[in-house]
Amino acid sequence: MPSRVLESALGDLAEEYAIRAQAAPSHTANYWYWMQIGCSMPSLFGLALKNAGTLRTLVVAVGAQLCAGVAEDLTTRAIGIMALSDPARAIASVVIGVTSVAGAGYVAARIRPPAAPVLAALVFAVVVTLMITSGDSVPLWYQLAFLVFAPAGSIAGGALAARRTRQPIS
Amino acid sequence: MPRGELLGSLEYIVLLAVTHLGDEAYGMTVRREIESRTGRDLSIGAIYSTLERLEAKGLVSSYTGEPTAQRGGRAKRHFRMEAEGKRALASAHEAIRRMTAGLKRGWNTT
Repeated sequence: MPSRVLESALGDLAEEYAIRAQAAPSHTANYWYWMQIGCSMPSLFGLALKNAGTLRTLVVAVGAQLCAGVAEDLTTRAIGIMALSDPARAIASVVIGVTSVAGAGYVAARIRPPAAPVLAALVFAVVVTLMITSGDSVPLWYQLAFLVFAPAGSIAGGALAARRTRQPIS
Repeated sequence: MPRGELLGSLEYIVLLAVTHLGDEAYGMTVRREIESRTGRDLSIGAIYSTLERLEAKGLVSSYTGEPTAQRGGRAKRHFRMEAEGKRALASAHEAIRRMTAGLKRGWNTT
């Protein structure tokens, strides 16, 4: 997907969000915004696959996902969250996981801008697979937190990378 | 666009929205135009993937505007109808008119 598409789409969402936030309560506008992000992902992912360099984008996204996994594991060990109580450990795990994916999304987008939404889609697929296979052994809120925030983290990381490469406001 | 190839329904609607909007056609306005006229709350991703497809077919062209603070420093990407787009739209409209001709009241598109 050309980065110009992502740039334009995010700009359009920001503009319409501002209009909606003035006309309705902010939580309604927030809900609309995140629904738009979620519903746009299949179309944008399809667009990314259609464009040239699909394989390189996939390689970067898969590489970023592996790096995020390693970074998450190393951070978890370094901080020693296994020693924490159950709820604190789960919260720390979500924060570390989402931060790792966001960082991976940022790096992936710096290498290849379309890789960030592809990484988000990969992470989403992995979390859904884990939700199906893990059954009731993991709390639902924990699974949903990863399902929502991990892909969003990758998109946010990609948007941050795009912002850094964008020309300044005239 | 190859001769005989018909527009998809979303392509048809997006092209009509671009026609209505003229110089003000960009992702957000196209999305809102479709929503206000049809009630369909399409995602911005669906709008852009359709516009990209239309541009690849040579039916519309795009140019980048200036970045604005309201858009978080991101530029608008304006779309305008090309001659091939007008032909495709007329052809699709004519196909629908012919297919609906003679049907009971309520289907007439003229």
